[in-house]
Amino acid sequence: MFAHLATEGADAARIAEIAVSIWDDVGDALAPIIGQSGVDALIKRSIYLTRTAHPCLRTIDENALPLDGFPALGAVLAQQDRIEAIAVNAALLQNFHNVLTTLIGASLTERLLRPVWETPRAAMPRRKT
Amino acid sequence: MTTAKATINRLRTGVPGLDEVLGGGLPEFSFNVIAGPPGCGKTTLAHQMMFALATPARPALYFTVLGEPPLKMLRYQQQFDFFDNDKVNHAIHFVNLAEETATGDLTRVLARIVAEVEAHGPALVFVDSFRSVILAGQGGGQGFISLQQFVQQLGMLMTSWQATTFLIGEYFSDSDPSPIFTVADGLIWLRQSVQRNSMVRKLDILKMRGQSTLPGLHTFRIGMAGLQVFAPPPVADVSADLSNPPPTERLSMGVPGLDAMMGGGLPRGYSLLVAGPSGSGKSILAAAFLVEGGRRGETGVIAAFEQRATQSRGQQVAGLIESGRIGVVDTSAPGLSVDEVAMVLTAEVQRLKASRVVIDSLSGFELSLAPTFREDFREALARMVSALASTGVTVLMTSELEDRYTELRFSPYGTAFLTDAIIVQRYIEVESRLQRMMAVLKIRASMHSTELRLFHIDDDGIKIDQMLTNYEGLLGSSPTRSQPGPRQRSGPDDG
Repeated sequence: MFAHLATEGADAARIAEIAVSIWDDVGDALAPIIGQSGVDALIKRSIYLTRTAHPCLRTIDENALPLDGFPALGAVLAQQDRIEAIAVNAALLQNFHNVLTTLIGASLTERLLRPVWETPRAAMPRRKT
Repeated sequence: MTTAKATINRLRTGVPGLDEVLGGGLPEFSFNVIAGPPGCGKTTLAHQMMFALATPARPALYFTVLGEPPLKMLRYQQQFDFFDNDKVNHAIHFVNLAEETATGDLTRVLARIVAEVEAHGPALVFVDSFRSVILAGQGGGQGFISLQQFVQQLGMLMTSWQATTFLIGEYFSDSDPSPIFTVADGLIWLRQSVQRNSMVRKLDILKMRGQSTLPGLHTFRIGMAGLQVFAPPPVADVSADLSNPPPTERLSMGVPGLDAMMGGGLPRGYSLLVAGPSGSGKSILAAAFLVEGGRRGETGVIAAFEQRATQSRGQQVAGLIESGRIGVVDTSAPGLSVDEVAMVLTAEVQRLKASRVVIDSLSGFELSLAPTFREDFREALARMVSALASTGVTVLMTSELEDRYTELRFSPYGTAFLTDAIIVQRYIEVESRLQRMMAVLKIRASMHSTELRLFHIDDDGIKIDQMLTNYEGLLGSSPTRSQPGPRQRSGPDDG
């Protein structure tokens, strides 16, 4: 969902920054409804599902949850090259989305996460097409 | 001096049957408790009302406390038809209170509720489950406000915010001396009664300030559409019945000769009991009654409680069912109550504008009831018959009658008094053959034949034959030839 960043020349640090802000918004959208512990449980499960393909996630201490703002992920992403940083976060978001969808259905998932996708990321480079 | 009384608006809950039980709906701005053991449908009831009542202008706030994890609640509740995704985060806001509750400080819980209420200005507030709040309050120790203060403040706050409030909690005993019950305006109690192999859900309005509710336990079911409450059918007004003259219009029974025996047919709006032993032809008579209605352009409804019901009724009834001229009431659900059948029957009668109703048979009906309802069968049946009569339909009920040749019985339930008319069928032995015999015993406010008529059943249905003359003691099953001269009694020993 933000693979286009690669073509915009954003570096890994910038990608990590945007990723953290997205996860921040995911937390803001969901925690009031399902509780912070509910969000944490979903993130934990998503990390578990993603780290086979992206072993760099193994360095995240899942027991350090709650991931308030998910700084641990930002630190991991910043150390990757930019293509991998984008791939890791995209896969993580995708898995998170899938887990939530299997639990509460696609329609409600879209509804709850809509504010995340609608938030303009001011500093985000725009696609030039 | 005139005083204008406060007007209490009653909200339509969106739960079929519940408004009737509540006495017209839920009073606006009331502070209610929905209580009951786990799994009895409290959360479902709350959601169903919330989705029915919440609008963007009058939104709902649903506070989830420890209890059921909200993710699971959303997962399961959205399976119900009433769950409208579009209302979430729009007309309905879910708020998780787990963190505040975990502190055990009820002041914090209250502060968060106040903050959310001020932010959203809800017309409806739900707290699920309230028991978790109570437990948290108990674990909190000293220095915090007590549960009683908490409930009172919450009640005050919600009413002044003009919000209709629901506390959902698990309470296992209605003698639980909880301060909530004192503060609450309404107490909706859900129960599950398990007897033998059946489980029946019941609902009870223990308290509802400002209006009179229907007392007692009311059965409900939970299906994909949510809860459906079966309110008892309204009792017909007896005084109106007394002032009305007996009906003059007669319905044909569809059996040649039987109308004449009944003084011209069955008066419209009457209930008829057809009693007889197994295999005597009750269902065939009932089918003829429906087919005759179909032939005359009338519609009918049948509640069949016998196995293989469609087979014994023949092609004509099957055709009428297929074409939608006869509605069939589903009686296969386990743990039925008479009130439920009455409600479904009445709804089907209204849908089809039906004029003929068949209940075949009362014996099967009683068997299909959950054991817990069997004790009250007669009372409930009386209510149902009276409710059906008030809709103006003509009802034919069959009843299995154990053949006892030493006595003349009409039905094993004492249901005979409930009905306006009675036809009895018997087996008799004549010249080493088992013959069928039929008689019209009663038609209220009408002349009818007193003959005992033989009948037989062929491919076209019931055929009424001649009267068996020169025999006596027919009701005793083994008649004897009487002395020459008809209708002359030969002596007390006969029969």
